[in-house]
Amino acid sequence: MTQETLGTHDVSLQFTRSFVGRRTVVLGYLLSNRAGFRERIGHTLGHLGLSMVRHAILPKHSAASERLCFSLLRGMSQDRITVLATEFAQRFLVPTLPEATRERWRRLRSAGWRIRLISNHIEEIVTAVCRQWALEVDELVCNRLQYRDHIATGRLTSPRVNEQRRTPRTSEEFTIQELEDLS
Amino acid sequence: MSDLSIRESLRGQNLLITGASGFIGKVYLAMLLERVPETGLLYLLLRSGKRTATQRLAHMFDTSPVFLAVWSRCSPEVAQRMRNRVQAIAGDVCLPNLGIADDQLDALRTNLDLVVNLAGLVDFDPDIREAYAANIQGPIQVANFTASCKNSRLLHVSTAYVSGTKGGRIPELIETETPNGQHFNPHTELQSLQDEIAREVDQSSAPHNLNEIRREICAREHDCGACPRHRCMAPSLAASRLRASMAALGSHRARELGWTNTYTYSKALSERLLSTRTDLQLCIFRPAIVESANRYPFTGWNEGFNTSGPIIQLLGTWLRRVRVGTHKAIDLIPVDYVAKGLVIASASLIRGRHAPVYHCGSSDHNPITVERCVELSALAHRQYWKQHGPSWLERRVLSRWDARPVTSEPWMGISLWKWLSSSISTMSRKVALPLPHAQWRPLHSFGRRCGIWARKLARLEMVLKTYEPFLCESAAVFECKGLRRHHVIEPEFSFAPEDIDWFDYMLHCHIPGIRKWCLQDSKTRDPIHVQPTA
Repeated sequence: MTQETLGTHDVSLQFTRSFVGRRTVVLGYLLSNRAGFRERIGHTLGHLGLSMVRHAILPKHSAASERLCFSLLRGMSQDRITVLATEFAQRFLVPTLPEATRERWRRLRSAGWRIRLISNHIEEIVTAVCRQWALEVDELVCNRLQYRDHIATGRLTSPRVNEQRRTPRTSEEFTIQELEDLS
Repeated sequence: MSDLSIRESLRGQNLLITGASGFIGKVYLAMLLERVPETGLLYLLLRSGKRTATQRLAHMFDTSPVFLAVWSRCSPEVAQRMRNRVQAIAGDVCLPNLGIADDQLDALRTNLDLVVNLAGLVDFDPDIREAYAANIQGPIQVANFTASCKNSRLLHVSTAYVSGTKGGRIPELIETETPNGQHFNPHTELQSLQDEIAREVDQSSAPHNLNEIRREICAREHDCGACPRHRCMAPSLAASRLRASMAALGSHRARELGWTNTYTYSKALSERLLSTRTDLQLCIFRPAIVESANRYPFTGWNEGFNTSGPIIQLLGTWLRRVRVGTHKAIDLIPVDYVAKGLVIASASLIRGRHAPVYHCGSSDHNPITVERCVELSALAHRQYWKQHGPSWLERRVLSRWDARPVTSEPWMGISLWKWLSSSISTMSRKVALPLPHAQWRPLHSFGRRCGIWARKLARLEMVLKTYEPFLCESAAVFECKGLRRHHVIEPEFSFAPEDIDWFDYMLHCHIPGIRKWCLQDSKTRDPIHVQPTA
């Protein structure tokens, strides 16, 4: 069977069941390792505060809430975010992925399926996990930070993948199948 | 754009390479041996000391990781054939006829097709006499020798930083003025430099100067002047003071004319002296800051500790803030790109299609800012300390210390810490003097420790000052059109600095390379598992 006959298989990386996989924790790790000591303390405290109150003042998973959450990354270099994301993935995320997921992934690949990976994490995290586990992906649908001169602006580029709905806001429709099998 | 075949151009051509035992020279030689088997004989001019030139060459081939990597990629027969293509010539670039024995001179003058001068002193502020000998007198002698050859073609390797403190886009030209815009006659400058050196030497060796030094020693050591040991100290102290004053003379002269240091000044002077010669075909090759190999001979290869090495080492210590200029590009170029550029320049010079000057840098097509460079260095050190930190302090604290680029000098800078350490040292020693021995000892030892810290900080301050022009002042972008003008047929020689991924290069090649090969880190240093050929 060829790839064409099999079509695309959408899979989703889910870390949300474990505490360390929560996006809030990932963001906290990135912010607590900013370059400046004052920034580290200030932004981490700000992030903690925001995590506690943002759902109270803004609708959960709204665009404004998401934007507020990522705005704290503003001013961080792309290089630092990539290194920290790799560190985090290596240390915390990769061990939480079940071996069965990896096996199933490989089976799908060897069967000739095209894999479209959907995740609500930022690209740096997802890429690091895939690299660590040597997972091959044909298409990556995840949140991407906007950079200007290698410095994060604190915004996400479209399409955004929402944590609640896990559907990207694009004109295309992504069908999510067999999520439960993979997680 | 014209097509250029490296193999066809260099087929059967005999080259004389000076400075082949240096960092660039080794990679250039290895590349010629491995990738251009059509080249004729390669003569290497090597100084003979305890070992003869031939022994030095054999030692280099048997021990240098560059050549060990080359030999490991081919069969012993091929390796032997490569070695047979290289011949050592005993000599010295500073001497007339390069110090080559008379019986070899005639044959060389007839056989040589190209002379590549890589010899030089890459030390930023050395004794001006050393810089003069290696960077000015050497190229003059090489040019004289080349002019006496049948095919007088000279490829002279200089530096892109001969532009000095000048900013903006630097064209591939030989300027006629100093970087600060003064009229510059290289012959007058050379004469005036020689006069100043002679004057300093005369002053230093004058009898009244030696007597004064002797009196100083006597006063310091509470000696009447009869002690023979103290009498012997005078000439060595005079010599060391002369070296210091010569270094100061070079730095002062360089800065007065707009160059950043003695190295760039001496290189610029030699370039301009050579450019006035009409008796040879000359091509000047100007690499920027030459750093660890990206791919060839193998990832991360580096040697010596004199380009960005010291500053990168400092960024992995407790130094927290480094003053840099905002959005200023720093022109780093991996050594394999430089070797490729040199091969292209050699081939084009042999073909007679060369440009007078070639820049070899990355700032024109793939610039990296100083801030990004500092950030990447800090991240690379972070990774290293996390994995290899010997103690909890390094693994947990130093790995997160992260050097930061700042635009202004922090108020709690090195100068302040140095002043504090030095003051505490002096005070504690003074306070300790009248105390009884039991109380005197700890205080005195504390003072001594503070003194050591003050000296360490002074050295640190000096290193940062040396690099200040490159980190804060220089905003130059070196135009790199000449090398790209040639359409090289062989893809392995194509010069494309835009392919360098700085993130990958700094984190996985350059800084691990510096740690492994320059700082001699035993933790990351695994020897190349190849056997030297017989």
